[in-house]
Amino acid sequence: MDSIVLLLEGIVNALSWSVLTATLIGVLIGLLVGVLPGLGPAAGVAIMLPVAVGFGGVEAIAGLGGIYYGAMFGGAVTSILLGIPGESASVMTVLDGYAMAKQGKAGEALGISVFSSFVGGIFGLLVMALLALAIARVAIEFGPTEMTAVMVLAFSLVSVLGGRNIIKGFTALFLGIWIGMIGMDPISGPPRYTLGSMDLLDGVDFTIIAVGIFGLAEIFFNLSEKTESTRAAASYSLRSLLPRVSHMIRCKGAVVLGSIMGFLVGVLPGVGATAATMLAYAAAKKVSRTPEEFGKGAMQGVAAPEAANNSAAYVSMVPMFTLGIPGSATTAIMLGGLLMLGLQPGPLLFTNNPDFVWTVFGSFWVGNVMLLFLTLLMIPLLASVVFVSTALLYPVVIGMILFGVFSINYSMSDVLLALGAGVLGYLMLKLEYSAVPLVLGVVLGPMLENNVRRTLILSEGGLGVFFERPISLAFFLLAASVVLFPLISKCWKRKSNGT
Amino acid sequence: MKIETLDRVFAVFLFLLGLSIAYFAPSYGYMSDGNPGAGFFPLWVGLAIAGLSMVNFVRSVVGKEKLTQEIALPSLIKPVALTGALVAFVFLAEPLGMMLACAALVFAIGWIIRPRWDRVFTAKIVATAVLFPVAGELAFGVYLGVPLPKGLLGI
Repeated sequence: MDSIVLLLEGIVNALSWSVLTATLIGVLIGLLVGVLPGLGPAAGVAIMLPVAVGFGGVEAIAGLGGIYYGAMFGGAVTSILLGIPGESASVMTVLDGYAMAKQGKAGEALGISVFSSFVGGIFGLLVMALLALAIARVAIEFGPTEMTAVMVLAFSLVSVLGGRNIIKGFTALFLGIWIGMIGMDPISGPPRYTLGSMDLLDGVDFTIIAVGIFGLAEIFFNLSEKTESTRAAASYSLRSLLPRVSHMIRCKGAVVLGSIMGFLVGVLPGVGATAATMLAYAAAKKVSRTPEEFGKGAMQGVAAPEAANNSAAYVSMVPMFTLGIPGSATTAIMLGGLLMLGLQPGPLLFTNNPDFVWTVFGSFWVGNVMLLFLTLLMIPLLASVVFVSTALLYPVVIGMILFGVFSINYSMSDVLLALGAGVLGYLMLKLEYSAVPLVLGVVLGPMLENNVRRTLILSEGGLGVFFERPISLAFFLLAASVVLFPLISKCWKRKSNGT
Repeated sequence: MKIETLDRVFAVFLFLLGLSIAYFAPSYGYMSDGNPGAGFFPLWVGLAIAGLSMVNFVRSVVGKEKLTQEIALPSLIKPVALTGALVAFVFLAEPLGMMLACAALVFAIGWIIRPRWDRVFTAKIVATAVLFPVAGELAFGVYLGVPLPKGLLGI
C-alpha cells in the first residue's frame, strides 16, 4: 500500500515541465531508434547519455528510460509494415504482424501491438514499483545452473516454434548456436571460426542476422513470387487502417500471458527482452485453440510478444535499481548514467533517494501513456506505407537496412554479412526451415554455453549438479515435458486410430 | 533444378559444415583440468548439425519430406540481380561515398523490380534517389555521428 502511495506521488512529480519534456524527448527518440533497423535501444541510450546526464537528476534517467521503452513501441512498426525487425525484441512480431499487413490489416496489427505494449508496460511498471526488492532477492538465487535450465527450456520450445518439420527446426537451432559462437571465446579467449578476419573477432551482431534473415530474405522471396498484384489488391479504407476494440478484447489472454512471461524472463539478469518475446510467443501458440494460425496472421502472435517486450523492458531495470546489476546492454549503459549522476544503485537507493526513484518510476508511467497516444495517432499514416509500390518502397527499405547495419560497427563487412544472412534466409524460406529457431540459437546459444561451462567449472565437471538443485530440476522436467508430451500424444493417437 | 534436389544439396552442405565445425573444435581446447574449454560446445554443436542434416537428407531421399515451394530459374533472376546490386554497392560505397552509392542503388533496385518506367514513376524514383540518401546522411551522418564513407568527391 505504501508503494502505491509513493508511486502516485512519483507520477504527480513526474508531471513537472522539466521531467515531462525529458520524457517526451526520450520516447520520441526511442520511437525513431526502434523503427530504424540496425539501431537498438542500447545504441540510442549510449548516444544520448552525455546529453541526458547534462540535464541532471530525474530528467536524465526519465529521458534515457523513455528511449528504452520507446524503442520497444517503435520496433513493432517496421516489423509489421515491412517484415524487418526494428530491433531484436521485435523479431517475433514479424511472424504474424507482417502476415497481417500483407492481408491488408496493417492498422489492426499496429493497434494490437500498441495496446499490448501499453498493457505489458503497465504490468511491468506495477511489478517493478511494488515488488522490486522482493524480486531482486529471488532473481539473485538464479545461478549458472538455473540459467542453463532456463535456456534448455527455451530451446525445447523449438518443438512449438520449429515449423512443420521438427528435425529442420532443431537443425536451424544448432546452426544459430554455432553462429553465436563465432568470435572470441568470452571465457578462455581464443578466436573461434573467424577465418582470420578481424571483423569477426567481436562475433556476429544479432541485429545483422535478424535484419538479413527476416528483412532481406523476405524481399528476395517476394521478388521471386510476383506478389506485387497481391499487395495492390489489398483494400484501402480508413477503417482498415484503424485498430478495433473488439480485437483488443479478443487478445486479452495473449496480452496477459505475454506480460507475465515478460516479467518472469525479463527480471533474470542477462536474459533480456528478446528471449522474453520468444518464450511468450511460444507459450501463446502452445495454449491457443488455433495454433495453426500462428505465423499466418494470428493477432495473438502480435499481442503476446509485444506485451512481453514492454513488460520485460521495465522489469529488466529491477536488478539495475535494486542490486546495481544491469540486466541487459541498455540497462548497463543506464547504470553508467546513474553513477555519473552520483547515485549508487542498490537497496539503499530507495532509502536514501526515495523522491528520485519514485519520480523516475512515475515518469515511466507518464511515458507509457504518451507512447499510447503518439503511436495511435500515427497509425493511419504509418499503415498507409504498405500501399506504396514495391519498386519505390524496397529501395528505401534496403537503403535503411544498409545505413542501419553500417552504423553498428562502421563496417561494410557487416553489410556483406547481412546479405549472406539474407541469402540463407531465402533458402530457408524455400526449403521450409523455420528461421525462428535460428535466431533463438544466436541469442540464447552464447548464454547457454557460458552458463554450462561456468556450472561445470564450479562443479568440477560433475553433471549431477543440474539435477540436484530444485529450480534447475524443475525447469529440466518442464523442458522434457514440452518436447515429449506432443510426441507421446501423437503416438497414442496413432495407436488409437490403428485399433 | 527441382526443389527436392536443392533440399538434398542444402542438407549435404550443412552436413559438411557440421563436420568441419566439429573437426576444428578440438583445436580451441576441448577440456582442461576437467573444465570444458572453448572447443567443448562447438564439437557437440557441429556433430548435432551433421547428424540432423543427415536425417534431413535421408528423409528427402526416401520421399518423407514434401515441400510446397518451387524453384524455377526465371524466378531467381530478380533476387540474383538484387544481390549483385548490393555487392556492387558494398564495393562502390568507399570510392563514390555513401550518398552517391545509395542513389545509384535506388535506381538499380527500381529498374530490377520495374524495368519499364513511365514519366510518373521516373519522377518518383528520381525524387527518391535524391531525397532518401540526403535523409540518411542527415539522420545517420549528422545527427547520430556515424562516419559514413564520403568518397572521392567528399559527399
